[in-house]
Amino acid sequence: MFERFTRSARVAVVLAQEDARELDAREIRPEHVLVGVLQSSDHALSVLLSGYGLTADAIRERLMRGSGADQQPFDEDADALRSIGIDLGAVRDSVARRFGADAFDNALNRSGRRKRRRGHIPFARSSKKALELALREAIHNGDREIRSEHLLLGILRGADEKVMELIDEHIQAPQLRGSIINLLNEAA
Amino acid sequence: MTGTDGLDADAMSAVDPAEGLRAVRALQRLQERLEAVHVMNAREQGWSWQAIAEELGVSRQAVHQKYNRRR
Repeated sequence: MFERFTRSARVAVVLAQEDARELDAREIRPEHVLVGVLQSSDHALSVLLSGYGLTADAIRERLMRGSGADQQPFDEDADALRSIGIDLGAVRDSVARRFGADAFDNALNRSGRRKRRRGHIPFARSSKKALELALREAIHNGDREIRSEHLLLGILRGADEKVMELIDEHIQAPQLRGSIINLLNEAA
Repeated sequence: MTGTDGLDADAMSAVDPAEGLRAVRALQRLQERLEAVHVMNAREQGWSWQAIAEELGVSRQAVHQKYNRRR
């Protein structure tokens, strides 16, 4: 699939993996792909996006602030551990009583523990879908290559809840979509 | 013998592999988190990397390499 990607779109995907790793994420999620695109986009797209305040730094900052309090991975693990008789909530409470309220949630960041440097991080299903939709956007627009613009359109079309929330803090999706399509048409 | 084989096969097929594997992964993550909490606590109480490593049953280098990011 990646053979039809432009150079900057490939770089975006590589950087998405880097960002997922940097943030200690389990999967490469659409928001990581978004950060990858924001870091690697060429001049015209970069001007357009930063005009809305959509920058890699802004999104990354939001992701870092959010990651400590993310409830969903905790709930998933709690379900899984319940099946083998471990009460994850009780473990977290006991750590909180002895080491402070957020000791459990922040343990990995605070301990000076090194982040995983190696190892493959898989794409989340929602990211795979966004990449497939990027391809479809390119075909639909009559473009031979998949550009960073198409990646963004794919992310928007995939409409993963979390990434849409992050984008929506800066610009509404339909308006962003319109500007990106204009940009593609100007370039053509 | 054949009877118990059949019984075992039934018992095995009743366990959802995905559920079991998810539990193992979740347990790994819990282990990492608890280890971080207690290594940090030990360091704050002035424990050496050597002493921590001995309690964890791993080499001093292993602990040091994993946790010395800030120092």
